[in-house]
Amino acid sequence: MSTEEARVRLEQVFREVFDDDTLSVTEDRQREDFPGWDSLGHIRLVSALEETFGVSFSIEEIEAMTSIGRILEAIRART
Amino acid sequence: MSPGTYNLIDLPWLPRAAGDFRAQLSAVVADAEADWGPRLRYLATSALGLNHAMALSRAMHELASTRPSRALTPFRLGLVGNGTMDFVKPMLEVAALRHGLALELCAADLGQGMQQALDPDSVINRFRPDAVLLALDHRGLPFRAADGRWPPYDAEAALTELQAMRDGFRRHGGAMSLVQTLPAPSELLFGSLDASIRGSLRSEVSGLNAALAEDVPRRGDLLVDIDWLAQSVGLDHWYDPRTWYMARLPFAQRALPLYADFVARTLGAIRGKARKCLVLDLDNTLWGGVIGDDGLEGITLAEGDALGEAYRAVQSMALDLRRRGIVLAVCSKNDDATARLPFRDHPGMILKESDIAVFVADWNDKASNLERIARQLELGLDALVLLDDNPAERELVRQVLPQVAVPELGPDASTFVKAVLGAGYFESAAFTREDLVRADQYRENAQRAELLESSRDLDDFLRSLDMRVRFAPFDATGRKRITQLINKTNQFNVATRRYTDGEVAGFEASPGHYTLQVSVSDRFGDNGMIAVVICVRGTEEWLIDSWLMSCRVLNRKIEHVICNRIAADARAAGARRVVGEYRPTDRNGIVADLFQRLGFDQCEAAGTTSRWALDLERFQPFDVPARVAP
Repeated sequence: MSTEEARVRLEQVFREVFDDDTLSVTEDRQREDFPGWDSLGHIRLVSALEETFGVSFSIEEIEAMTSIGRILEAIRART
Repeated sequence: MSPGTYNLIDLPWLPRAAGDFRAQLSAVVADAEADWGPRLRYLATSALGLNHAMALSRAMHELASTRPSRALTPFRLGLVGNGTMDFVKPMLEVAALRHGLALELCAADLGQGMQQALDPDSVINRFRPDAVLLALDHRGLPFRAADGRWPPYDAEAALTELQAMRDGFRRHGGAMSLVQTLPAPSELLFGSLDASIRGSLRSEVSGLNAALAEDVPRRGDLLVDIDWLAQSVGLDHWYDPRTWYMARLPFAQRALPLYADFVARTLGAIRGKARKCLVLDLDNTLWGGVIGDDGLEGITLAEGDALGEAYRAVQSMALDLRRRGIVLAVCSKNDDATARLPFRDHPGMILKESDIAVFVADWNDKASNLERIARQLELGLDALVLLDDNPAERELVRQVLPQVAVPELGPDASTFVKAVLGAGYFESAAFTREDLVRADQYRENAQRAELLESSRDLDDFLRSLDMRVRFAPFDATGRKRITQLINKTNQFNVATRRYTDGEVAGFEASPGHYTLQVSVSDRFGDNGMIAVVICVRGTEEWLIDSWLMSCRVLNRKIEHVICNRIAADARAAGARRVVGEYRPTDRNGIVADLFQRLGFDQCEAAGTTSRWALDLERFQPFDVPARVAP
């Protein structure tokens, strides 16, 4: 999967999880840029990522997902 | 859900969420006119993940804050857990909606269950819940010894703690408890020895579950068998250590929709929402093949044949349901005589014609035939479950009659049993003597209906039934059935007040209340307890707090017999008037004119409630076609 494909699917996941069809997901955006991305939002996000990409992340990987860029990295490492 | 699998964790009996789910949801929110309850319930009757559930929950809160839904039954639930409840809450609301309930939740903070139970002023006790769910597992109860000695685990303290919590919520919050059984641990310390050695977590958890199964129903609380649910999902899939460590989620997120539905079924059962009748299609549902084309020899129904065994298992399940009081009906597109042929002449059939209360085989559309079946059984459409292998028929019935439950099925008949039983349509909060004979009673009713057609005059017919009516005040023996009737009777119910088992026990001893449990038998059989009355005694005036009757005995003048009895007892106690209230719901229209028919005068109306008074000095007892047994 190319980075762009992964980014587009990630954007869909974000829109679904945070219930906002206008969210745009780019590599440079940080956790603080998304109001719904709190600690429970993070758990929902990770569940949705695991389901969408068919992977399972370690606790360390999950805790390191503090930006779009780092999520894409984690997905790249697993797929 | 991948094709070919049929796993409970996917809620496979429900249709998948619609692609335009969010658009449909917005349309309901935008409509300020229609009752939103049935429409949200329809949206909730699909397999929804957490994100959809949260959107639906938000929409429901928004709508409920402006206008309540008349189609949903309120339920106030307190929540005590040893994990994060944030995700459980919206999913429970959605699952409750699926079962016809508008759920209001009040959750304790993590680990605060005991304080909440014992403090009369706690958030949950002040909330006055109908019930409190004790969603605790072995990590939330005092199981583990602090020191390093053997044994590491002991169920005694956990059992005591659960009892204290239940007592606290009952005493201070007036609420029953729904107690979860504990899932087995996912790992063993010794290995197989854990099962038999005291002090291992596995044996202590199973000991605790056994003790709960004894103790919980005895004291008017209910078990929610999460132990079974976790086993069914598979312990390895149930527990997710990562999310437990990160966010205190007590089980895997993937199991959340199933968990919530499982809990909501129990709430539904308490409120009388469980279904009562299984309607069976025939071809490719009860047997393989098409009887009209393949003939008796051609249909698949033999022992030793794999598919034949699968169809026989469907029939065995139906028979087991009938044994526990679920009514069976047949609805098939067939010629009547052809459809009955296997029941009469196929040696592989487990179901007999006499097991079927209503048998409809013709070429009308299924939706009209389901309406006809409901009418004949005097049941609501929301009491029906349709088992049908044909996806087009299922979709049609869902569209036309959304009240009927229609399970999605797997790739072959080996999934049908799981579809019906796994969906929990017939969840029950109690099992009484009446349940044992109910399916027979519905058949007897059909026979009475036949007799009615042959008798010209209703009174002649009723007299020919040779009815005997028995009255008794509330007592411990009748309590379970009384509570069941109070909570599930929707149609003949003048005030629709619901009471818990504990409250019913309170009426038994209360000198300020007059209570009646009413049983009826006739020459076709014993109908068991069919009516309940509660009056508040005053010196001048008795007020009918509750009066409800099972629809099995409608149109038999039993209400006149009961009215005679109340009037006689009130008069003997020196009262001058009996006052009744009619509080309309969307289901109890049949008693809108009850008091008028019984000769009560209307006195006033407050909002939609109307009040009626019977002047005891003027009252002449009705001539009734029944004998009153002492």
